[in-house]
Amino acid sequence: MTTVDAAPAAGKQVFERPHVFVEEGTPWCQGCGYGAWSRIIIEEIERANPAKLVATADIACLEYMHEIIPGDITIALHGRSVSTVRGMKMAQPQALAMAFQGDGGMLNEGLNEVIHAAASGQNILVILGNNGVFGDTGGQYTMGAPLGLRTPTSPGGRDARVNGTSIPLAEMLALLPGAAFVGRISTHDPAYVYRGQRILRKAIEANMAGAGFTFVECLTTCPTGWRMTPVEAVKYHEEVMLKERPVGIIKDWDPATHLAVEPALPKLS
Amino acid sequence: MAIILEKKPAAVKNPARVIIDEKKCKGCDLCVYYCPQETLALSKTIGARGYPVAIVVQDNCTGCQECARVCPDVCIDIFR
Amino acid sequence: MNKEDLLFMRAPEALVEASLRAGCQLFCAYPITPVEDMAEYWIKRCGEFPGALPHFTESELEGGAYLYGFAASGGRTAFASTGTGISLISESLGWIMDAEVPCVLFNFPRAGGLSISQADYNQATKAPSHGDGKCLVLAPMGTQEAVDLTMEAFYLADLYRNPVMVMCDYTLGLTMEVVEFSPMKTEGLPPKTWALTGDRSRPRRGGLAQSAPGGITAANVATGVDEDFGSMSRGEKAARRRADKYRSFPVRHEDFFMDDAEVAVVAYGTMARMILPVLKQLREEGHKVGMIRPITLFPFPVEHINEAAGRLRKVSVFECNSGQMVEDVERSVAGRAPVEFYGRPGGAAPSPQEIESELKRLLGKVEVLA
Repeated sequence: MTTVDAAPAAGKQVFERPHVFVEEGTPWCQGCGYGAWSRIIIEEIERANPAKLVATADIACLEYMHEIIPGDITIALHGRSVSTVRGMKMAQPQALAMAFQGDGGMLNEGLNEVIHAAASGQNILVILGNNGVFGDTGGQYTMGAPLGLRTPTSPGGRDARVNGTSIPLAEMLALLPGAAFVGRISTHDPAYVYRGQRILRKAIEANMAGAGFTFVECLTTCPTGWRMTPVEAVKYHEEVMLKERPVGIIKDWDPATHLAVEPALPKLS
Repeated sequence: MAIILEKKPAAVKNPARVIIDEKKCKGCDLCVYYCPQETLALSKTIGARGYPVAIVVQDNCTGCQECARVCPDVCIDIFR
Repeated sequence: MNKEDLLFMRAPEALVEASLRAGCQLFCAYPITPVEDMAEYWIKRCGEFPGALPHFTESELEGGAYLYGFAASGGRTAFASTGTGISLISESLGWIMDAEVPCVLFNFPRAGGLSISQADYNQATKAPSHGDGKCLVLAPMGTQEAVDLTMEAFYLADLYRNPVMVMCDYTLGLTMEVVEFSPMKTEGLPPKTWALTGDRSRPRRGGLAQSAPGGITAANVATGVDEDFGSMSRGEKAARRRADKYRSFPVRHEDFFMDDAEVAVVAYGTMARMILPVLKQLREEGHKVGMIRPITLFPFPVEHINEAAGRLRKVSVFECNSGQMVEDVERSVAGRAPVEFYGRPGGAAPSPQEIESELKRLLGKVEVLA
């Protein structure tokens, strides 16, 4: 329930925010793409209702997930979220294990480990928040940035000859047999959020069923990092970020061909 | 699909209610941008977080929940 | 005595056997001699120990993060490498020390290639990572002591919620000896209520976790310190409490012929072992020479060496490096006696004749080597 004086009972509540946001709000910048994304994550975790939840988030913007995640979450060193959660999962195999990492942590600092994790097939759920920049340090470009993005370290726009091109990690991971489910969503637009929540739900369900390595990339805006207003950022996102990064299920989990790697995870009663 | 087509707000017989938590709103303008009914606008005053807040300016909400879904501050509840 | 508890084994394998018997569940090992032998032995034996996992880390860097995650979630884990590997996991060690999460580190320092070295002393005792964090560093002198200290390392790690390092060296990595395994001590270990088991009913911490990563605050570590920190920040409070914890680590050393010694040598590990027979022989010849062997390199036996220095004509530090522990000895001696240094860096090990020659020189009885 909202803490704001509710309107006199006018019909029933058709949209109710998870309770944690009533208390905490979201800790990110004005217009941050992580906001809506964190809401659908919380809603899907509550829907899946695992008995145990362990999670990690890199140092950087996503570390604030520790304010809202309903489970045991630890901040990990930048780039080390995936390996840290792999260790946690080994110690608590019955827990739903999630790693939150931005494009800076995953495509730059810790690319090694997400590939190893996918190759290992371990039943962890890895979530990439990709906005093309190192938001927390002021918006420098990462290996997820689209060409042409102007940042303090690519002031003329990201140039392939000088700054390389972005790494299509989701498609690469889908190639590995260990990857059970790979999807990509976006949260810049309500319809995308709605569809994205369905894809995220499938990923969590697969993981709860013991499928193996599950991965969801979420394309998000970073108005602060891109030096745009939130509405400008959404328009830029549609024109540039979504190009060559199709949203949808890239690799669906088929339990018949990709056998579950562990038994289904227990839920809270 | 995401491109906002020309908005054509219509009158609504039993309007839904959109409740904005003004202590959390950071005035990003996305709910205003996406609302097909032009129900919302940004206030002229500064709210609790140092930004203008979204306010209801027309009583024609259809309860479509586009605003609530995209809100980066997750500060919107909808009653219908 | 159970025949299975008395074995003739290579030291690296003995340490793995000790780890398994101490309840180690995850062994983060990446091939680097002699660690690959540990990994191969682990795979052979881990099936006999319920809870021991057959997984290895894909790289040292990731291994450091595995260590943290596994231990933070309540598991017992160890990492083995040479000084190179400790360098690679250094950042994670800093995280582990700040979060006060227990683990055991096996270190086999090597000089460049495959030869003895004690040149990772500073790294282990002063700066296992950036920051103020410290590991409890234990230095065995032979395989039996290494096995005993290993089992104790897991206990101390859990007791202090800290990484504990077993500082071996490459020569020990090649040694094969008879070892006896005793049961591990467990009394006095508090339950791991702080562990991140995935409990969904735990209250959210909210706000930026300041004092320790992920909010594993060390508020429930029994350090024996009871101070009112007043209005200090959480970060400072936690850092001070950790510093107090490091000061409370047990200090250990072993003395040889020190009662009436006029000249003393300070050495640890294999160097001490090489000196010992020469020491005994010189004693039989009537020379008043002794040795102090630090067993804990951190914390260093500062007071003991200071007290002994008051009775000595001369102190000399023997190390297989260019001069690391000698600085700790100088600071311990604090001017009460002259401190000399005999260093053999770059993979060299002194022969008994060279040790004898140097000891006699220290005693003032110079012999010219042919």
